[in-house]
Amino acid sequence: MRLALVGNRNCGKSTLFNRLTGGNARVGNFPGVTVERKTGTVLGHEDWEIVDLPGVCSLHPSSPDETVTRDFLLYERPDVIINAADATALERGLYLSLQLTQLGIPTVLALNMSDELRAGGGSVDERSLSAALGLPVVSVSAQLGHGLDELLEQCASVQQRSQSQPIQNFSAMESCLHALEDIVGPAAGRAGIPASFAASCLLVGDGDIVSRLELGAGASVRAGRLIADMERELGHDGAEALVTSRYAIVDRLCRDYVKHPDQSRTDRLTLSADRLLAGGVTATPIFVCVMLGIFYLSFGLAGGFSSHVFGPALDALFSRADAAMLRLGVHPLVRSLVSDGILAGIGSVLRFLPVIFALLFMLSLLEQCGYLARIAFIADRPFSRLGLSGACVVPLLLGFGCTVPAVTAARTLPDARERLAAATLTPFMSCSAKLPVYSLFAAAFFPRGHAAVIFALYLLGILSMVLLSPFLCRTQPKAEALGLIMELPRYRLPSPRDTLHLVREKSTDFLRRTFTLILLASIAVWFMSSFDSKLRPVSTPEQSLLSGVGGFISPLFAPLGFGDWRVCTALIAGLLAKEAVVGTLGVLLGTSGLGTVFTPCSALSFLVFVLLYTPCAAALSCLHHETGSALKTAGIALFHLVLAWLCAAVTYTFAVWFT
Amino acid sequence: MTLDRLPNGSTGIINSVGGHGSQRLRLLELGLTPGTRVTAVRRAPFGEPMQLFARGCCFTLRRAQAEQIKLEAV
Repeated sequence: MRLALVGNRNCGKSTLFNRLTGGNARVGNFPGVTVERKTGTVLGHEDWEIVDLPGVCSLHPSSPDETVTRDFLLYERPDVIINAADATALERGLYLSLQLTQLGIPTVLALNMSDELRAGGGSVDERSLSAALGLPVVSVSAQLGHGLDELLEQCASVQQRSQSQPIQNFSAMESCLHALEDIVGPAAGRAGIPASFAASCLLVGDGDIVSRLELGAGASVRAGRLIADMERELGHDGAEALVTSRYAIVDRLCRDYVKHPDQSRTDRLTLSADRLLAGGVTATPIFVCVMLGIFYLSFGLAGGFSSHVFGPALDALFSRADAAMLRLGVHPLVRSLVSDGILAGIGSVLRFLPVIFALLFMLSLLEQCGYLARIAFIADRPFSRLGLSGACVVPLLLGFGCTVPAVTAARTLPDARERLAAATLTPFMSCSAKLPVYSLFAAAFFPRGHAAVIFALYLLGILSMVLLSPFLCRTQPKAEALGLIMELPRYRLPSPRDTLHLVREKSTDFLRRTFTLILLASIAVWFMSSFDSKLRPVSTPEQSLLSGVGGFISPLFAPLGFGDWRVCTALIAGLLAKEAVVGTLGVLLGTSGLGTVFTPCSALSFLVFVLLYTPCAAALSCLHHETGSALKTAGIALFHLVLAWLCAAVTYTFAVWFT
Repeated sequence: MTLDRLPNGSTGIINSVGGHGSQRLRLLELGLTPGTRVTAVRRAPFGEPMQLFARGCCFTLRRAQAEQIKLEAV
């Protein structure tokens, strides 16, 4: 049996998903789009598959991720919908529920956060609400794990039951809707769209669905006349009439069956916290402090742990392994492969796990506690100057973690122009894979100003983004401005389970990349640096295959201060994955050889180059997906390369001039 | 009066929602239907956007969108 989890944003859907599946999700993409698709097996029901659909406001989408949800429900028709709604703010949830009933898929309404509702003295008359809506209603608390068994029982039984006709009393509109249904019925049947849903799409002017219906000329005219008559009679247009009458039903349901809580603790907390965090004179300084705090904790504190405790421990472990191989009399070539190739390459990346873990952990806290939405709120005005909206902050901040999910997050933006701009600009937000490079060089060449150098690099990335975005927005055709329509969710304590799941997912991804891409790159680099073009082992690296390749392009980098073939090779490897820069340098130079190739000046220009140059292969393929054009993607890649070269050249020239 | 002029802390009842197309539909579907009570909570530090409270939720609107909503102050 296949279940789909549908609900508004911020209704606790992911928490519910984690509860139902035990957090074991398979993450993939929906076909054709880069919206993340999370699928899992329901605990205790091995043959039940559940899909976590992107949060929606309604079934008339305004962004690609909302379109994914609607199309999944329309065309893949899950066996059962679990409709999650926030019990403490039920009106918008019920609006969506009314829309879902039009699809004719068995649905169970899960009133999430019912514990909070009860704590505030509120309650829902589930039985009456269930009778009125014509579907089972279950109170649950995903946070505490309450009510989940009953939810699953209802899912099992609702599938067998035939759905009773829900009470949808649209009074004045009823006859119009029924007549519309009759008109679009045949066309809707051919298009595989439920007739009642098709009728309401026609009424509100959802052009996407209407064009898929391919109504004949006769049917179009009849439907148009019908809608015009109704609009004349009611005095307002179809969209307003339908939405207003749906909300009238919602209001009646809430009045009759929901006892609203007194202001709950989280509400009071949110109100007073927002006074400091979202408004007044304190909001901006606090935002700056939060960002500085995050940078300090991940680069200063976790970075220190990385370079003083975790890294040396890894080194000690690897040298033991090397000694063991020596004792066992392993063939020198094999020992070299393991020690100088695999362990050196992987180790140089792996030592930064604590930093990446800390950064991802804090970004996920920001997202979960609700502060990220406030950042978007504060930043909207400055961002609008750049031609973007505050909502872009979310993908851009996630870009500090990894470009790929950040570009994916841009899918939630409603404005196509902005979406493209955010996706293109995200690579300037220095991703966590570049961190190993910064940390290594900053520690080696600027031991005193370690954190300051890294921070300056991040600032340089942000500055490039700010300077380039107006230019980028100007090249895109101006669309209808959608502005910023965004919910500000209540603050809540991040659930430890969800945070853990999220960080585990992301760290596993880092480890998987380390042990696949980086491993392969390390082996390839070791091989090419240990053999010459006739596949004979070489005595000095200068005779190797790699030296030839790196030496070929190294003159290009001489003006930047690092025309060494080993550095050039590292930069090429970085196109595969940015961590590979460090991995390759580890294999070619060892841990202490940096000083022989770099001066502090050239180290600085190298860091600038790494910050700005072409995004990694995974990010490029993601960008290709978003832009939908190989030419544009190649353009972006080349643009980054040229920009990086210019900036690094300027940095180097200035640095040499000053010292 | 239009929503963008509603002072912080005051409440109004929506008369009509202007604009057109998908943006208007989105405003309506968020629950900003005629007859709904809306409270202006605050403006962002740089004067825009505004934070609203309606139907148990807080959300943000820019001035251009708030201008489309006509209301009666209570």
